[in-house]
Amino acid sequence: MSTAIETMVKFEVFRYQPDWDEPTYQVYDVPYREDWVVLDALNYIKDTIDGSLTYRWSCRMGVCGSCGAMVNGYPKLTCAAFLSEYLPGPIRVEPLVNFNVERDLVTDLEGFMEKLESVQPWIIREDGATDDLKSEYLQTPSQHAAYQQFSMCINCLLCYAACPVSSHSEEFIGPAALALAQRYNLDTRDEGVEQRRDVILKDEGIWECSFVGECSAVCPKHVDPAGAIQQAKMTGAIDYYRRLLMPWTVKS
Amino acid sequence: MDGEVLTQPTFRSLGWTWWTRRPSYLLVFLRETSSVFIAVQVVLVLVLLHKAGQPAADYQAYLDFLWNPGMVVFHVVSIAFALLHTYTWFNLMPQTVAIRIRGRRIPGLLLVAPQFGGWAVVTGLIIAWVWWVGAG
Amino acid sequence: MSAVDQLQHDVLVIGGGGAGLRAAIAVAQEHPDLSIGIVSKVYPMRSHTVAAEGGMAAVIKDNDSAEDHIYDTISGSDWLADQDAVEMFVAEAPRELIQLEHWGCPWSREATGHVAVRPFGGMKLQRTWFATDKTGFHVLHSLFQTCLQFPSITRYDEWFATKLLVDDGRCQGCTAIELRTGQLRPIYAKAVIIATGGFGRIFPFTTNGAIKTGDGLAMAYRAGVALKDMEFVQYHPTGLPGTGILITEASRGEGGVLRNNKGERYLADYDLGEPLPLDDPRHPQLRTMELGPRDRLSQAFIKEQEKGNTYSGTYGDYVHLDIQHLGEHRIDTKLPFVRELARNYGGIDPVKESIPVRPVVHYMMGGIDTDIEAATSLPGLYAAGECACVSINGANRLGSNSLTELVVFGARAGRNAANFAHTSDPAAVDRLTSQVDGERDRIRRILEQPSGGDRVAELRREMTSTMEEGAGIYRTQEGIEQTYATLSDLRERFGGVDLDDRTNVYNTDLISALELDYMLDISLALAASARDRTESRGSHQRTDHPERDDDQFLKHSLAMRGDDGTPEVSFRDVVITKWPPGSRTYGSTDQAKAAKTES
Repeated sequence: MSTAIETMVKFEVFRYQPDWDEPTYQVYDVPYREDWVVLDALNYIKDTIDGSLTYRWSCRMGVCGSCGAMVNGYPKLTCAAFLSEYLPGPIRVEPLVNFNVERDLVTDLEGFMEKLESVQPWIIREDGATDDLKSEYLQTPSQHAAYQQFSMCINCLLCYAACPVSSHSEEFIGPAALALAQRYNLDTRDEGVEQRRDVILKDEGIWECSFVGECSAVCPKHVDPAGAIQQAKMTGAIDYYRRLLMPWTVKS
Repeated sequence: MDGEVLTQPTFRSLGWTWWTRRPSYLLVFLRETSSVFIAVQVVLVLVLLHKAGQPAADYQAYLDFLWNPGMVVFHVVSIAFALLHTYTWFNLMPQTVAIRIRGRRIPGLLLVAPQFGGWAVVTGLIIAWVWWVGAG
Repeated sequence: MSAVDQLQHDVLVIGGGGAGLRAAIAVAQEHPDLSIGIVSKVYPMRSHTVAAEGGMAAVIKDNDSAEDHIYDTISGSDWLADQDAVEMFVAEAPRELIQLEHWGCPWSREATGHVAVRPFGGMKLQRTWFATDKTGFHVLHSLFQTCLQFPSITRYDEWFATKLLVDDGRCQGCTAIELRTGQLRPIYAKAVIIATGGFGRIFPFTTNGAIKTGDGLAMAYRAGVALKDMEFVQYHPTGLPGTGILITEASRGEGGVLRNNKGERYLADYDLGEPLPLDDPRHPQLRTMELGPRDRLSQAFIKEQEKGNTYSGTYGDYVHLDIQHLGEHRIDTKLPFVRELARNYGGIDPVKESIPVRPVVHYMMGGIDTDIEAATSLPGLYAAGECACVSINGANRLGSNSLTELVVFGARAGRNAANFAHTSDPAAVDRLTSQVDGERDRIRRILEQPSGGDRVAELRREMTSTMEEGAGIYRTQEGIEQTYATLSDLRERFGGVDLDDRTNVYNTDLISALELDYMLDISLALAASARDRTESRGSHQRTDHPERDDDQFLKHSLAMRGDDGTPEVSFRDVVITKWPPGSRTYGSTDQAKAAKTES
């Protein structure tokens, strides 16, 4: 690092503690480095200026999904938001919207965890008990490709922060969890479509989505939850009419 | 460490003005709002059909109503909304329909282009029919 | 606190990564009557298993054999692995990987629908199962999502375990801080499994995420369990300079090559065989050149650096990893994450340019001393995964054996802990109260320490820097002793550590201090073990003792925490069954076979 006068970037970071009436924004000056991301700046603040700044992070390579925050109003993984994209600043960092904030940038994930569990995101087999583990279930590359994209979700929850429906309906199962339901429904090894049907088709499921599409736009892993939900709607609609018009073709 | 438990989370949402927050939200808002205009337009056409079976004076009065400047502006706005809705909806089709051939999703263009093509053909047929009726 | 509020389980798992989740599922599946708790300082899907990339080894193809996998692992370990453990590990691996497949892990496939395998370093045959280059991510999420279906599993997400509760010579639970409230609470159990992962964060330059601070090792160490083979630190040869982000070995498995600043494939000079032209259909050759073991490749980098054959950059010296010849399609289908990482964090597109790489601390062969059943010397305490040392990895782990180790030993730990819990009495809650109170006092002292001491970040920086100086790829007596002295000084200074944050809710400043406390303990154990092993073996290279010394050191080191808190190192013989120590030969499969026959 050179000793010449450093370029500084101003950070406005959302601060909140449970015993405060109102959140505030605290301003920090952080030296600019070309290869730094917002997470590096947060770590710089915590290590050298203010150890009380609170946020989650771990892998710093875009795969653990901990470090999501609003950066200048957009949901981002802070480990993938380069300072160079926000020059000359100031850079405003806030917790993901549409979640309760516990402290500073830390949001409450319990609601999401319940939604995730509600779609039964595991392989359901009618022959479950007879697993002999002698050989793998066969799956061709094209069968694998049918769900692969929807299996890439890192649960970073940027999609929930981008979703106006999630903003106004706490019960909406939401993009990530519904995409995961679709991921298992499309997996040839799974036989749980019927079991997941009621959860996915209920009012808080796919039909609450109005296809804003921002979930897919902000997804750092290109999962396309909006696509997953619309595809599930298409399947659901076809299924509905089939039950209505050709009930004899439907297994009970 | 062992005192009273203190947690008091604060909720932050996009709020009711969410659609003003970014251009992409505004576009979606307009797309959804367009349905209102299209619905009103449908009602107007149904009334028109009904009036066609009524005495000529009633029918003429309704036509005059439709030609008043306010209604003309409404129709111009409606057609703009209809075009926006159609255009955006057609473009969303590749996300909604996943057709795979030999394991690969077919390109979005193959889903979008036939819709625009079909739209053009139907529009052409209607114009030709109107022209034919008018000429005949 | 009333008895109703008491947190109590039959089996308590500390750590929610691959090994911990596998253990919990093993208990839930085979003993549905047992109640299970999982304590994790992060939501389980954030665990660092998520960052593993390349794949997972198990013998599944017809041309492969258990014998070959065993031999590769043992020779890769520089004969420090326990051979009975390796035999069992290799035998159970295929079943565990098929189990993951049945739980939904999206393995990459062959056209026939069978799982595909790829080549990996130090392996004589292709036996690495993979899910593109996000294998760890898919394994972790498959395990986590699978575990959601068991009602007998209770998760304590974002609870930070601080201390094991031991009474009557038996482990009976732990204390943990609930981050959301800041409360320290005891969680009692009949059996405890530690699965808290490695501790790469004691070094400044590592592929490891922020959470890998070795808390579980320190807890076991403080409870009187030995830490085994702590001196063996694996440097992965290909990390991105600056961040230390991992570029998977699979990039070389697919055919990527390493070049120095003269454009030469320099590994040819380090007894790793002859390079084949990139258009030769036999490239890449197994157990040869770029597919040599990690310790040898990282050591070769240092030698090149000494010769002045490396590039120099802002974040130190580096060489080039070239995968351009694979072409865009193959890179996007087999190594999409490598391309994503190189573009985002290396600033280059590997389709068009070489990736700058340098060795980076990646994996700890050492850990909590366990036997082949994943049991420790403390009854009721088990350990599995990177935090444990059975040892199947010896002095150098082969790539793609660690994810397999998570599930093989995770499942074993789960089954054995369940059996133990079945025959044990509930925790002696009344007798443990004073330990809980003592722990609360210890943490309150840190929290309420008067101002004026060192900040956490400063002590941590000094610790990581002295570890790199004295306990890096090449070590000397003098260097290690200096590091040990610096660590002892830091240990003292930690007593006055000064927190910026003295509140309760999500106090990450306090958690960082506790993590630092644990890291200082295990760094000292590492330095002491490295000091006392006066030979060179695998990843432990002493320039003052450059040869392997089987007479004295065909032994595991065991560091026990003495009464004054300093480590005391002793040694225990390695278990040899069928493969007496031989020389590690890399270069071609024929040579390797020859070496094997000789031995």
